[in-house]
Amino acid sequence: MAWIELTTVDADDILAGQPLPGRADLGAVVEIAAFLRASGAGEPAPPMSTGLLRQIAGWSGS
Amino acid sequence: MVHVIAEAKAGCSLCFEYLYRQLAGQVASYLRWHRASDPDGLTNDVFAQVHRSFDRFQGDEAGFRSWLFTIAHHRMIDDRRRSSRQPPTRGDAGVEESLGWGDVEEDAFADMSGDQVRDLLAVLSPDQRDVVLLRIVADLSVEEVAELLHKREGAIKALQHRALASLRRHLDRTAAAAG
Repeated sequence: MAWIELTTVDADDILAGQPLPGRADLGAVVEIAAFLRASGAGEPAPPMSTGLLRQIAGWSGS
Repeated sequence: MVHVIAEAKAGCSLCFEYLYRQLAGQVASYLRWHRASDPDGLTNDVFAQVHRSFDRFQGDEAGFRSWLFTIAHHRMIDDRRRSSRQPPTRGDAGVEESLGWGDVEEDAFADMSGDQVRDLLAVLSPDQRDVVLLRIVADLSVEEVAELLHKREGAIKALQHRALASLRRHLDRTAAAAG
């Protein structure tokens, strides 16, 4: 397995989607992380199901 | 947010709906990247379980997020087990269709597609993929991921390091093959 020189802080920055100065070799990996992060933050909440709405409203369901 | 969590726990349905609107998209995204069979339906199941089990939750906003994704992770594992016993469906498709990005984000990622990223995630071991998605999509800390996956923090750091190395190696090979 190929290893890469990274500190824990470097890894945190990459996972946060922040480019590391002087580490152009990791630019594509940073882009992947930024893409994943944006997908999570940007995905709208799916519609609430009838079952969940009933449950939180305390309906009996019958 | 911590006040809303407390009110939702006390039975405020509007507060619970607020929590759903704030966090359900991230949960659905986490499940979708894990190729869950029905990410939207499972997200509803996750929040139904949160609602049923709220009495057992104690903690702050970070703790709530961690608890929520613990439930989502377990649902994902259950779904994976169920799916392995059934014929494949098209449920894992549609990452792009579900993204609510604006023009800026679309421009920033114009050269990347959800399919490409999904293929890259497939390069990782299941443990590495769990850690990467929990750290990035769920936005959990190393400590929180360690607790969720019942591993030591050092093991999580090693897994994320190996995951990043694997991704870079795969991207390097792909670039070399293309150019």
